[in-house]
Amino acid sequence: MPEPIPIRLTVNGERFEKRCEPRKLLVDFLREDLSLTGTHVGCEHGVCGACTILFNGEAVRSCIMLAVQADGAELCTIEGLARNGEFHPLQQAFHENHGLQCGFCTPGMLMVALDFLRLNPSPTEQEIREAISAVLCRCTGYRDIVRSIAAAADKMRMSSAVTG
Amino acid sequence: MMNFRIVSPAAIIDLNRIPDLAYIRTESGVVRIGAMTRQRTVEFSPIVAEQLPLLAEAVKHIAHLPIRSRGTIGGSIAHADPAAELPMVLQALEGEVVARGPAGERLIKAADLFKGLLATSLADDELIVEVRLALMPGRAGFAVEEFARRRGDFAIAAVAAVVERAGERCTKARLATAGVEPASARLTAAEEILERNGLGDSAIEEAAATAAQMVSPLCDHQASAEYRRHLTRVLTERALRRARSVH
Amino acid sequence: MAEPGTMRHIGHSMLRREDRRLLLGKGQYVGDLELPRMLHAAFVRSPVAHARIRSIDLVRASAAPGVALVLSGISLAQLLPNVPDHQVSLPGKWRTAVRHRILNPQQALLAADKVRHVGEAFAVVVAESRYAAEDAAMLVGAEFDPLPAVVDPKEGLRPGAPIVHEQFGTNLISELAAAKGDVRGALRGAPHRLQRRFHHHRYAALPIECRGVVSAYDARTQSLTSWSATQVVHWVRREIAATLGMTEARVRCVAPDVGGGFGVKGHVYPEDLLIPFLARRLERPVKWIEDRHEHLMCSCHSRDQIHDVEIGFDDDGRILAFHDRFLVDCGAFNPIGSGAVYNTIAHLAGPYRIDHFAAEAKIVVTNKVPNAPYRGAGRPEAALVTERAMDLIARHLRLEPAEVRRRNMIRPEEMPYSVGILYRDGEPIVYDGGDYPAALKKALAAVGGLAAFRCRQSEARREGRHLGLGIGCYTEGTGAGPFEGATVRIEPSGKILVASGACPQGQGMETIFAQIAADAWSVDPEDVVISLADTAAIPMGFGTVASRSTVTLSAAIHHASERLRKKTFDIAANLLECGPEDLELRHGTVSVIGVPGMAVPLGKVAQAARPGWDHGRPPGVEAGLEETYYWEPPTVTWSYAVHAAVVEVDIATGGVKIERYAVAHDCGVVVNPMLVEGQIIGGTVQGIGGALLERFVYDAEGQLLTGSLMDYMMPTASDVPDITLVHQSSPSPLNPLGVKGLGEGGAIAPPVVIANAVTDALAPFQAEFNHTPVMPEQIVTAVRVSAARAQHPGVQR
Repeated sequence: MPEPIPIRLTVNGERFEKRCEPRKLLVDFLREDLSLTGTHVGCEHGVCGACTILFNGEAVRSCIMLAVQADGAELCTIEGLARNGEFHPLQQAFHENHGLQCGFCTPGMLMVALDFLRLNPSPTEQEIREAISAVLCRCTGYRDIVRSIAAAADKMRMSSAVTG
Repeated sequence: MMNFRIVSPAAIIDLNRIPDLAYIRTESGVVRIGAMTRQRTVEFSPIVAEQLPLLAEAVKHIAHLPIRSRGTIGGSIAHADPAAELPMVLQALEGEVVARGPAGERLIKAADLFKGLLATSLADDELIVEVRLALMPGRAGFAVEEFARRRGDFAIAAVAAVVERAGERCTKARLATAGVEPASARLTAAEEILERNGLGDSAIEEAAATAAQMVSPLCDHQASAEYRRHLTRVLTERALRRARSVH
Repeated sequence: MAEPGTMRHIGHSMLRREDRRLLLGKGQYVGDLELPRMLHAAFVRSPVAHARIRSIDLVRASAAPGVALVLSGISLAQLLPNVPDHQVSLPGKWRTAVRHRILNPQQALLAADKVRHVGEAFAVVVAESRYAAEDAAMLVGAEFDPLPAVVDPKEGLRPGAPIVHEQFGTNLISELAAAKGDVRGALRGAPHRLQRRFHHHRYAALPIECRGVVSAYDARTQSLTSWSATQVVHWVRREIAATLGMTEARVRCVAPDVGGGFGVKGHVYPEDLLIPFLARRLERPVKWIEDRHEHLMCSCHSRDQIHDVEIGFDDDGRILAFHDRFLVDCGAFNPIGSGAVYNTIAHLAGPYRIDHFAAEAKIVVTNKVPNAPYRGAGRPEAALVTERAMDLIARHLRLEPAEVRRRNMIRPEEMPYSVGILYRDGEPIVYDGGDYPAALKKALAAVGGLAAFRCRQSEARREGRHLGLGIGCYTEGTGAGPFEGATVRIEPSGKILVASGACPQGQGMETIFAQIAADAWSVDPEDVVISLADTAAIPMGFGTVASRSTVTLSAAIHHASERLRKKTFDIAANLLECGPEDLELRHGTVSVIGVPGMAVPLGKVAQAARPGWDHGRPPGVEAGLEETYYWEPPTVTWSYAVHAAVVEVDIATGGVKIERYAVAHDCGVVVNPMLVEGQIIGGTVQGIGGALLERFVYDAEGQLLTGSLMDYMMPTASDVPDITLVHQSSPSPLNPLGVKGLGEGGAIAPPVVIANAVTDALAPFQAEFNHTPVMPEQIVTAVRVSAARAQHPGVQR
């Protein structure tokens, strides 16, 4: 059994120093070693997108990355979205627009949306659909997720216009 | 493959920490892309958009943004999945890769690189370090036509076309496939028809029919060989029609 | 029915209480549970479809690092006697009236003598981590004597076919039939007849969360708790108790947050029983979380029916006779028995008047994953048959498909309408209300109107483009029995507790039952506490399957509340020194009618209800302020819908694009419109997946070729259009609130809608799409065959 490898990383602004097996998946590391169970495993082969997190600001599928690859990286997971218990505009929009039912794909949807809206702050409905086709949802049929992201985009554009 | 326990390597070497393997620069009419350049970086690169628009179009077909955040141009080419878009682009643009190993460096042309299903001519101890693609001429017409069951899926069949013309003549035609055969290949017989007969409707139809005849398509539960052969004709025709109307 | 004017929250799109924890990443799914000293299980699953197990070698696996225990089916059989399972019971009324023969090939917890499908577990490893358990699982040695596999149910019925369960001597494990009138006579006399085969293929629910079980045994109380991603906690509890020889009171089953179910988590699986056994044996908690690859090869598949239909009709397109003989490929085991299959029979008539009808079903075992209900549960298969038939009749008579449907539809003035056969609860099927023609009209209008479409279609054809319109109508029996219960209790704080055995998997039950209880008690929804999916919360429960929880639980809450209200008023009257008839519920209090200020808060009544010295109860009123009511529905109540879609078919590639999709539906009184829409859209998109993308593929040896999500394709946001919903409402006369079930409906029609639309688009090529999924290659082939036929008109098809 290979020696555990030390890794240092920042998750949701908090620094961690841990050791883990080289073959441990990043998603398992987050869930088990850091007790951040908000990121979910839906397929373990990089297709469903439920495991999506932000890795140095970019959306990635954490079930097809090894934890050791995150050494030195800054990660953001669903647990890092709210501030002092207050919803991020994306979370608020999902709540107001019924963008989730069982909640299992929701972490993936939120993280993909976050990355996407930074790249494209004024998306069309088609563009939103294309972006979230990266995450499978079985409950909602996607309509309300698209509406949620469109509403969040409006909100986020307005507030960044205000704050400049 | 590791998650399915199909492969259980004793050791893995992480290339992600080598900073000078990721770059995009132009030198003497050639775009040089470091092998570890992320597909996402290629997607948003102004150099690629301007100088290699075929690549810019093709990269958007690759899976989804989160995959492109991590997938690399060198990785995709070395892995040589039959349905991957980047080997097809390398073929269509007659690019080459720089392979480095203990014995030194060598250049491998696209035509000599892809050997078969998931197989390249790289030696076991060689690594792709750079991908080189000649700047596409400003007047080149191009198109990628892909048929997949869903947006972002591996292609069931795809054709990339690049054409250059002088008046009525087609001075250069390059056609390459993905998804049709075990490895991405050039449709040279079809190219010759266009370079001989131009880019009119009947030349395009003849080239497309030839393309369909010359391939040895894969057969699996997704699609039969006959259907892939059929798609080769349809997509070749569509790619050429679009490519010729670019300018 | 609830009194008008008392409903303040029912009917409103109240935002969901579940959202907060789920959006913060604080949901608790079974995979999130961490218990001290917990071990992890991994299963060893058969790589072959059909084989005798010659020997299993556990030695190397047992010695692997971190391993606590390795068991095979053979070693397990010595530790745990086989207990007959209880498939969903069939009511006596049904059993005496319906022709049937049902054999139950019970599945062992671990295969011991034979493996009968790729993916069937024959050994289990328990270790310190899942990684270590999987490492050890690879070291389990197995020797198989392969047997020929049954992969086609028709072949499975031939004499000499390999037998999956030798004890039966046949692969035909069930037969069911129902009839009305004289179908053969009516067929003989019919002016027109058509015969077709339809195949509704094999696909499945595939929730994003796979299955999982965590079990822990407590030596102090000799009790066991099992957390399972299940839709049926009380059934799981009952089977655990029976299997482990424990009393039910010492077994608790809880479903935490469940990431989608759709039926696939709606029965008891071997793992539900094996993991508790292991936890008790090892006296340490044991966790098993299914991965997707496993899920595709051991969580139940669904649908997979082949129908041979003969229909007689007249010159006006009215159906005179309908005879359907069908085969069901039920895989290696049949956990739900006849349920979904009889549903098909019961729903074949759909919204139509059919005087002479017969359906005969044969359920055939094969060497594939077992078949169990998935959203729709037999109804999509019925809809494919009947709704394709409507279009075929229309084509034969050169009528509009919509017109043929109109002529056959039961009219609103004919309600309630007796269909003439029984439902699976043993009661005669009676459609209890609804306006089918109006729904048809609305659905067509919502996709732009029929006449306008035909114009567009002709124009498009002239341009070489192929548009098609497809329609799918269905009726749906919902809110089935046998029962569901609710406990309603008023706490000294004034909060209302509602507990039930319903098991949510994303439907928003914590929200809608708070709305219902809030209206029943005139409190704010925030003052209602909901406890679901926990056998400790209520002694008996049925679970959430078959679009039943809103109907059954709302009725149970209503009746429990009615009784509790009487007692509450008796006590409040005592406190207020008036008569109970002078009282009403108002804003969290019990108040004297017409006298503001003379009121007592509900919490105070609860305090007064307590036993002890100085209580506030009048003589004859017992202590406590709680009622439990188990509601047994008289029968199912009938929802219905019409789906319509416009598609464009690219005949060169075979690609199908859905341009517009509309659903006109009726689910009676709506508790929360936003949630209802979410359910319909979600179901419809699953149905579209089944129509165009999703399918399981087995090869001739029974190998599953679609073993990952790259091969089994699920619809993404780019694959589906925006869906327009139109509502109409015919309140149910069968329950106090007038609600009807709707969870499954969306998934029933899309496969036939798409098949009809593509057939319509390809009408010039005279292609028919009578099988699902509709694949691009089939379209291309159909066009090519048609072109060849056009060139050689004398050649037979």
